[in-house]
Amino acid sequence: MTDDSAAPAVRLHGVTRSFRRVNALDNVTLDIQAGAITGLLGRNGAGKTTLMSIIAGHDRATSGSVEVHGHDPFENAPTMAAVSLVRDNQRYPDSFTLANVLTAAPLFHKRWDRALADELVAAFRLPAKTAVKKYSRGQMSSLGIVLGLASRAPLTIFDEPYLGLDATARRFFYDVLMRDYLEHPRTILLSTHLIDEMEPLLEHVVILEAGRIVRAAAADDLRGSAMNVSGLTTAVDALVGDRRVLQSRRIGALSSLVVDGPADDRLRSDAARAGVEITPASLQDLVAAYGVDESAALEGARS
Amino acid sequence: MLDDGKPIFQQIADSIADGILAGSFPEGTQVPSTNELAAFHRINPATVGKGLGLLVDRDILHKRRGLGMFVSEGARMRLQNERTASFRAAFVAPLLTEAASLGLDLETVHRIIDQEGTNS
Amino acid sequence: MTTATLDRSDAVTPLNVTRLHFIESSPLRAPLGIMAVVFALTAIIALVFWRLGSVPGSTVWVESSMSNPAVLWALPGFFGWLGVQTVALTFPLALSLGSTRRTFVLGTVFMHVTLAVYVTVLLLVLLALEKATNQWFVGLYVTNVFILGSGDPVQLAATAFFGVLLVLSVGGAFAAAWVRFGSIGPTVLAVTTVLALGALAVLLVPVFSSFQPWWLVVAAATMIALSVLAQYLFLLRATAR
Repeated sequence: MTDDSAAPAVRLHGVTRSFRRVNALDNVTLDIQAGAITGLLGRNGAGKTTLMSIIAGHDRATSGSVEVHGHDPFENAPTMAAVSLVRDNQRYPDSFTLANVLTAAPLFHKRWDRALADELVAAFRLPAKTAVKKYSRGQMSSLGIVLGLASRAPLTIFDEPYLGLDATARRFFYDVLMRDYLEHPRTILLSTHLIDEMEPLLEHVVILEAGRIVRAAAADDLRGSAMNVSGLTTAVDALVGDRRVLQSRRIGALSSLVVDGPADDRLRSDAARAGVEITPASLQDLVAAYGVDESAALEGARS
Repeated sequence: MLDDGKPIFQQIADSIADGILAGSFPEGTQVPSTNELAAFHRINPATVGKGLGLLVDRDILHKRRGLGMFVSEGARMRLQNERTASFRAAFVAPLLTEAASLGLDLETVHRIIDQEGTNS
Repeated sequence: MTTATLDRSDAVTPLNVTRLHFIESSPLRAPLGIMAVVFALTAIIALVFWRLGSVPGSTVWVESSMSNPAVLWALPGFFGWLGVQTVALTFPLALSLGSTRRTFVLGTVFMHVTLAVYVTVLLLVLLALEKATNQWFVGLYVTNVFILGSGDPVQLAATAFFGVLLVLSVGGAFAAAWVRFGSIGPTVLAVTTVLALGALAVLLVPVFSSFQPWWLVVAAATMIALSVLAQYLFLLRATAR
């Protein structure tokens, strides 16, 4: 779909953002490919929103360099105008109605597509009379989706855009996102916890944990880049050997590990002989494996 | 259409191959474009492209510049042969191994298969 | 592909931000309503005094009517609130729509200046009508009052323009302090401002005797400039919330 040799839409180098003494982002170096859909995954507090805010010029890195379309976005008017980031807790002026918001957006986004906005507003059934700030969680998310998609911003960022949306509305969002992206290719960055549901949409995946990048790769390469290994602890440990264990759960004599690296045929046949089960780890497994070590909790519960 | 375990691009390739085997995409006809498949399945076009690429590598599909992807001559036969080979590897070989461990001779295995065939 | 389509003309301009502020017409409608209320209150008070035996047109009547401070009480409250609103609630939206902080502050200042001019013109028109109708035919003093320059259009214009702009700007500065520091921001800013003004007043005591009215204009202009600078500096380090 996209040309890997093209200049990345976003380049971060050694980006750190500290709030008082805490590093929300810690020495993040990352390229985000232009024209691709990239998913930003990680647990709450991993630094996803901070990273997106810095890319959009809403926040500023404490140290490190940030380039969006070749320029530091902070206070750079053309660069900021080419980015759309509607926050998950976006504020609107008190008495603003839907019509007010839809009048405001085209003043700022030169590529605004009115027809697309109208289509989305109708499909999400957004109320016209209610003040926007009184919208429900789902309506607020829908409005954010309308603003993000209809902006056609060269870099469009969605921060957990599905909050409060039911399955039907979410599926509609994925449909329109993919349709409009195919018709008007642009760089899309989205954070999500609904990994199983949204991973087919993604071309690239970045996994963030405790302010650091733990994985950044093509989604197709990341799927199956780790495996779930489970069975009797002795057999599992013998099989895994010195491979890198991302997560381990042990209950009594049973173990379930997430192990780095793909399973090869030899490992598979060894596993079959030892009565150990090997399945490819999903993206969800991989994300869950980082940032949580359940063995301690479970062993605590056992004793 | 997505099931766990198999990579998504593999599933895309399999679904097109299934379509060719079932006759939905006769040889010489065009298959849906990357974008059509991406929009229809809500799957990233890069992933779809990778899936179609697998079929191009096996000469099941071929590109016609500016027109799209077409089913190659002999694709159905090749798929049938491939599937037959993997059927033997995945089902027949283990069947015979299991039969041997149960002490069943080939004749008995043939008889069991014939019975199963007439029952179903 | 995306980089090629990016150019300077896409940048959000201060005028875009000004238009965002005026999408809702209430900033323009409200002063009309407020002046109508001021008018009604003035009329009611005049009626009370007339019933109590005061004679319209008498020296006492004119003296007390021209002390009418209704305009002073009515307009600043609204504009202070509006100054806060335009920054606190519109800033996060403008940022999300791709405006820089600098563009936002400039656009907001344009909006505040536009409003100040609008109110000034409104009051000048009312003053002209008031004078042409010989105090609305019944001796009502709404704009021809001491605090607006006792009927001098230049003094009224200066008072209205700088007064409205000052209140809007200070409101904006307090809102920016809130956006930057949370609820502690405006409190600290208020204490700092009061202490600074107090110190300044003490310093200026020796020259109070030679006070000139234009000092007020300079003082207001300085406060406006400082408020706008404060808005920018606070918002520069603010994360949208």
